[in-house]
Amino acid sequence: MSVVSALTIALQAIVTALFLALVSLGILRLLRHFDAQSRAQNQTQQDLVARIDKLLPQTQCGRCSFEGCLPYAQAIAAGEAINKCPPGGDLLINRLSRLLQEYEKGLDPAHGKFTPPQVAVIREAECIGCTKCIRACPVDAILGGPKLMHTVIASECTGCDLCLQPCPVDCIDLVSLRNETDPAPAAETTLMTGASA
Amino acid sequence: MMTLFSSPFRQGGIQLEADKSATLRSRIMPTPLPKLLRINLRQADGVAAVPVVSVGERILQYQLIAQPGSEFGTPMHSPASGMVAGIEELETITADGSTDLSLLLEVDTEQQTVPCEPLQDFRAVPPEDVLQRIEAAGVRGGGGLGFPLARKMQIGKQHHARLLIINAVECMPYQSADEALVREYAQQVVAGAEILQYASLAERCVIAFQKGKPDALQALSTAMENSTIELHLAPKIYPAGSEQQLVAAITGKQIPSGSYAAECGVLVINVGAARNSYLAVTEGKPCVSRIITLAGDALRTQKNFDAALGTPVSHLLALCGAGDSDNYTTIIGDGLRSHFLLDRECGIDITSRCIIAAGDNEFPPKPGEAPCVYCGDCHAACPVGLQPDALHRLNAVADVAGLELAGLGDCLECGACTYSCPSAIDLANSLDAGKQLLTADALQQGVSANWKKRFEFNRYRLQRDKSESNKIEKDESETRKIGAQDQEAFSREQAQRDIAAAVARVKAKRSATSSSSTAAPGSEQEKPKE
Repeated sequence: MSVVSALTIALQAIVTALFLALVSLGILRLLRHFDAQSRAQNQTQQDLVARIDKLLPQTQCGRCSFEGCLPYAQAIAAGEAINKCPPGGDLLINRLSRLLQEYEKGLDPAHGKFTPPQVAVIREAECIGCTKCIRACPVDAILGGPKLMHTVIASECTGCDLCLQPCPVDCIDLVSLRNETDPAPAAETTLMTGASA
Repeated sequence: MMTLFSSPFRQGGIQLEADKSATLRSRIMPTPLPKLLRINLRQADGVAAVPVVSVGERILQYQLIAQPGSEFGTPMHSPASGMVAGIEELETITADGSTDLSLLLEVDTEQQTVPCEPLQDFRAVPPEDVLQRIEAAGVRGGGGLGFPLARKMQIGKQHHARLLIINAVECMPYQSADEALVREYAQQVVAGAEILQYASLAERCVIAFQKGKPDALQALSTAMENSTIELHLAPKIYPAGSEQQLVAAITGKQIPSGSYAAECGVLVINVGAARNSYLAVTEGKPCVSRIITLAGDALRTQKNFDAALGTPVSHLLALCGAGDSDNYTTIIGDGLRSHFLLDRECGIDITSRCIIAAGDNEFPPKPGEAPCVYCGDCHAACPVGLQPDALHRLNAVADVAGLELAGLGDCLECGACTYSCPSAIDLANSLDAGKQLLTADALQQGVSANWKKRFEFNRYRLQRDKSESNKIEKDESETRKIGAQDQEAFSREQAQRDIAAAVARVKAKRSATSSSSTAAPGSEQEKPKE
């Protein structure tokens, strides 16, 4: 009898120990799972901001009401609307909605109309050399000094129009870069046809 | 999924019932020189070669006329002797109809030649010297752009190219220049292939040819009897001769999207360039001519010419007995990817392979574009496994991201999709436009990255200037504080002195009052008087 009872107790102990081990393993796994998930979420959040920022036009114009493109990217990742970027236009909305699975009809009119690529040009004869536009330029694309003529480095200008407002003599113009009306003519054509129409 | 569908065993392409026998009836004609050659100096990267001769100078055949103006340029030589009549911007034979720097040469009757330096046994000199001879002769690829051959081989060497493919597939309709070349100069082609294998240090050399060309194949097999060069026969479909397709068929491996074969260790060289290499290395002759097909219903005889570069199109058309110039349209290309030529005085260049003088009924006007019926014929026709109809719709809304995702970068621009479309939609044209969008977008990406960098630096600079000016202010206020402390210390001493003086005065007063208390009023009265 005693042998049987001892065996039963031992068996019970083993079963309990196994059960406890399983439970604790499960708990550990669950904890690790949650940890990994939160870390992955954090990682994807950072990744997402970088991916959104890469799609934004980087004109740094601030017309989305954020101070530059990266802050807007962070805001979008946190749930901000994706249709506040006039330089990006419909193409940007299209790309962002593809990335975020979020759909917007068109640009938010509160932030202005679509602006195709443009550059600022200073009418140099009228410039008085006040340096106000130099301080306003977000990408340091204006060259000049106090009481000396300023000029825009066209290759670096984002066309953000932030230099227009501070100019006391209104000598800066924005010039469109692309002529939208004439698309490039087709170079090569296919003259043969196989299928009967 | 993608790997399954774009596996090398996937064929794609279209069956063409193109009968090219008319152009192959006669042998390659040595072309009588025209009175005036119009030599286009433009190179593969769009930069013109720099002329080294001047207007009015008399030059000889094979004389150097221009040096490369950029990294991807080649030296150019005169195809004939004569007088330089002009060096000016003229309209060219290329598809974009742009003007380029061209050299006008008035050909004389004497035809004097600069002596050539033949090299009987190329194996007697090191491979570098062979490559140098090819470079000096200005040999260019016969494909789309006319890429400098020596440059391509250098790139191949950098990537340890082990396989050399001589491309003689020529799957296009109308064009039979390469077939005629193989048929008549098979020995030179094989010799050229051996030279290129020696110069490129490739372990294996394959000549790629196409099925259904018995005469040329016979000649090629005879020439290859005593050589280690292998033969590959591509199927009789269009297209079958692109770099991507040949590499996939011969090695079983695919060139990754966005790479060239030379970067993957495979050199694919056009058969015309192989023959020109033979001429350059063994005979010492520079590259001054090419074989060109003249086809089309409007010609009395269709044939292939070995024409000097710069020969006007009108001269070749006249040799073929083209009638009144109003009765036909001139087309440069093979009918599937081609463009119309308006100025027939344009000279041919190294990339001109075929000229069609089309009669009235040769290319009947296409019916208008009908809506897409989603038949999927273009999917079956596409040699690289794209879905041209989907790309067409994406292009219509200028969806650059979608085009990129759908793999438009792999498009060969072969035109098989347009050919196969039952609704007569010009898919190839649409894909071309989409490719231009992709290029523009890639450019913009670079510009945006630059703007971002500059903006970040601007913010950093402002922050730095701010902290620096703060530091200066802090320093100033500290000096002010020290000054104030001095002032304070000074005033305290003063105050102490003042206090001491006042105390002394009070003491003196007290001693005075104690000595004579009666004198006090008097002394008080005296004080104002003082």
